[in-house]
Amino acid sequence: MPSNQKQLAEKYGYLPETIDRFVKLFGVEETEEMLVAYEKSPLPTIRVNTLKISPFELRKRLELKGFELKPSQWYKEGFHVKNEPISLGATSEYLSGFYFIQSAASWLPTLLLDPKPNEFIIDLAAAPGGKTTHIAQLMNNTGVLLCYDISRERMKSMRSNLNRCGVMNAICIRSDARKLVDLKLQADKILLDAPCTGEGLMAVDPSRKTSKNSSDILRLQKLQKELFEIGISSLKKGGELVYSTCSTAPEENEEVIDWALEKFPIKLLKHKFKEFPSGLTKAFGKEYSQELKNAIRLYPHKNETEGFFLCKLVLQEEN
Amino acid sequence: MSITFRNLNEEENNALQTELIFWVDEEKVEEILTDYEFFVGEGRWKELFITNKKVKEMLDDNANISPYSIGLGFGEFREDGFIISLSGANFIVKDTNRLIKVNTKAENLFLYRRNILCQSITEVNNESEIDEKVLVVNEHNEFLGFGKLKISPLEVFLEKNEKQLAVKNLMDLGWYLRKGK
Repeated sequence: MPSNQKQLAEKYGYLPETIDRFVKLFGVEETEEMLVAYEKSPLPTIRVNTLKISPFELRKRLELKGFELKPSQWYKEGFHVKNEPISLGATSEYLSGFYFIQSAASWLPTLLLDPKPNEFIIDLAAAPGGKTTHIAQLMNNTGVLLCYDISRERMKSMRSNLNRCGVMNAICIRSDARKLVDLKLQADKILLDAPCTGEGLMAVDPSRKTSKNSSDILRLQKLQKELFEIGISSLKKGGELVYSTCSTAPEENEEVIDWALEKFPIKLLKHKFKEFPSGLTKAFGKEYSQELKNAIRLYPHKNETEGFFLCKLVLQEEN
Repeated sequence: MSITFRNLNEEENNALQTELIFWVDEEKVEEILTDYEFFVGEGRWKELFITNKKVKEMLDDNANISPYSIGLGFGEFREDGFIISLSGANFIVKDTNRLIKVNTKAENLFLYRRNILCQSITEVNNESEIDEKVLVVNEHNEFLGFGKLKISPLEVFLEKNEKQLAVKNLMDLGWYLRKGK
């Protein structure tokens, strides 16, 4: 490994192999820009729960209490919180379920999924419920939202969040999502916010700099592919699936989708969020489908968010 | 412990209606019972869940689904009847007269389990009696929690009573911070 990479690993506290991967993907200069950005916590962000209050009214209420809110440039129901006189999680507005404290990157999978009233939607890794409550609000509490999570503790938090936010259309199942296939259901839409290494979360969880290595990436890729296959088997023809992770590792993202494009009759859909970087079509000497240009990548140094990947695909009708 | 879900039986239905009629009029009770679907979840506790008709259809058509929870927790059955929950109270808060409205300072204290003094109350309905349950709301008429009235509504605004205990905190939305995480 070149000495400047070793220095970066030491300076920023990463595993050398992680820095090596970053440099191969982005080059030395951009890697350092990204590492610098990961040292800085992003501003807290909140999403307005429109089941209970309008963005205008919530902003007015919080600003009266001394909060300083900056509207998101790309989501009218999201705000960056520039000044927080008391904890965001302790206001009566929070306790009343008027907003959810959620990273801006985490708004995108639900917005890309574009839930509509009366649909049947499955959330495959749902707890603690940030994206689930967002989906429910866009469905206006109609239709059915089937939510899976295996963790007892996370499911407890999820129930509390659903109750706080007034979500009525969810059925929560505490189980391995791989058992979904036994139910033989056909959803209109599926959100697979897949378990991942969290390689994009270093700004909020610095332990991730050293806690995961390339063997974790490959172990999780196997699970991601399994969950993807389960998702496709529970999607109706013409139905749509959003795949997302809070990782920038191509093995957990483009490589999973490239594999899926070969295996299933699916097509990546274009999206309206043109301000964000596209998915990669090559990484570490491998070439991926050109359709991956329709995926979205987020980076802390480019988008002031955590590192993130997402894409939307449709299960095509059989000929 | 796993939770088993089923429809309401007659006794539970009666207990639910008894609780609702305490808070709201018969028309509103009828509206709640007609517009929504209910499931009883029996595990460590016996809880009531409220949801929409599509969810009910999905569960009726797919008996192999084993939920952990369905829709919104509406309340809990106890030996002495049914008690509506924090999330259930939002269904009745706009239609009940059993309200105590408090000022902003008391709102913040109440959310940390504190009781309410007479001087913090800005509105009270004269129908409630001492030791009856009331919904505590803020200046925006938003639900903050349940309390027990400890003074006659007619005496709340008497100057001599301003430091008197008016409402004992039974449960407030701060529960979501203290226990809900």
